[in-house]
Amino acid sequence: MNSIIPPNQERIERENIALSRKEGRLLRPADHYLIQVLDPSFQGDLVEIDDPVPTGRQVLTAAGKIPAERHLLLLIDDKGVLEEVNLDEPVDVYQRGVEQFIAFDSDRLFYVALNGRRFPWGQASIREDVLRQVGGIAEDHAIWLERRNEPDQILADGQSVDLDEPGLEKLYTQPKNWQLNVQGVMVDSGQPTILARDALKAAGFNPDKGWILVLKVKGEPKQSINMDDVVDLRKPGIEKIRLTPAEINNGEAAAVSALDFSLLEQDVAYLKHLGLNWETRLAGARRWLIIRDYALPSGYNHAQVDLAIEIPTAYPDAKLDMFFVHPALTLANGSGIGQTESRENILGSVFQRWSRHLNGITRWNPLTDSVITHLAVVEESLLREVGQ
Amino acid sequence: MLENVLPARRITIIDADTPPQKLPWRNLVLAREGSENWAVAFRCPCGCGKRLELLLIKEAKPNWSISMSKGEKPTLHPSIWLKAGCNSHFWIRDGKVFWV
Repeated sequence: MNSIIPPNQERIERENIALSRKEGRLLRPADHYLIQVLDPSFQGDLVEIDDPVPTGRQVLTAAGKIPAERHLLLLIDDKGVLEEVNLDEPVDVYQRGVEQFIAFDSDRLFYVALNGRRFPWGQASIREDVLRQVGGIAEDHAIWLERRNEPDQILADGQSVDLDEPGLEKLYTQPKNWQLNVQGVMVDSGQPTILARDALKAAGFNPDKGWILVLKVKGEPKQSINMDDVVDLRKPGIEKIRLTPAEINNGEAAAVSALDFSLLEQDVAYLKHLGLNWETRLAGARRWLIIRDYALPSGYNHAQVDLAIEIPTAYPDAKLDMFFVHPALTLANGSGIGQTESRENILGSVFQRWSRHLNGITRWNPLTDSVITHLAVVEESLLREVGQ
Repeated sequence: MLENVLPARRITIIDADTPPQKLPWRNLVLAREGSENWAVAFRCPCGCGKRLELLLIKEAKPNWSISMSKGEKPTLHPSIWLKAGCNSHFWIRDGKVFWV
């Protein structure tokens, strides 16, 4: 049945039928024709036939589906319509506009309806990705399974629909809708990704107000994100953006900015080495080194204090003297501590003054003494009161 | 100072990643999801009553750490410093507020 081949044309060795249709040209007469025969997963190779109007049996045999009687053959035309091909039925591949064949190792047809159109299938189930190819369904559309007495079900990536159930399985497609939970407000997105800033706007939050954003995705470590980061909504499960106003700083961040004056290089190195949280603060004309969370030996009514040391402008020529703690200390048994009755208000907190001085023998030496040696005095004084 | 007279602030733990909008007068609310501490919230102790929420998760910047002594008396580290409004700067140790 080589009727469609115009006469007087030179024969070529092989003609790819799918390709010629794609290129919109007439078939050239050839010794062999190439058609595509797919398996139920939509995978397949080109198969060579000698007749451009083969029968079902010829196609199956050429694709190695032997014996042909044990197989089923469907064709897909250029409109995406699936149709059964009987074994002895000739298919005018070119004129019919046949795109591809699908061969099944099966003896029974199942039916499924997609967007109101019924089509046959050679297996008891069909996968979501195969449905997409058969029906030409774009990625931005979701496939839904119609169900009775319960909500319709959206097909997940690669999910299979069971066609062996009683009754025709009805499927329909709808534009996909991605959702994001922004601090308890559900935001619908027509796009699979969304800018954090746009998500906040959609949820009614002002993105310029200053927020800390934490992205929670099911089964993934949470992460801190910025306003201009893109959130991918395609992962299974609903993502959540957790918002917290960014109006509060902590002392750690503040410590960096709270250097009102500088200490000696070796002092800074030493304080850093000890891992202390410290700052230098101006209070009027007075200069204070304040060490936060200074750990105390046991035996006091507190485990740690803020420790303040006044740094005279002329330091290190001028000596460091005494120290101040907040809150005020007593011994754990409630006893007071000698020479600590005086109070000093430093930057809004009441500090207890520890009147401890170098005695006549150990005198301040600007060349050798510093914050480092004064901290040794502090430590010794604190240990002495608790008898250590 | 009233803070020295009133009992230590205590903490209530809820199973959520976000503390509620409505907060108790003095006590703290800790939002804990599973075994993970997400955030702690309380009203600003300066008296302005502003709702303060601090993230405890290490992924966030800034973040705070919380520890609790017997009797649910919370200690937060490091200090809390409001960048706007009342500009309060304080520590919470053992349920007590210490002003900086």
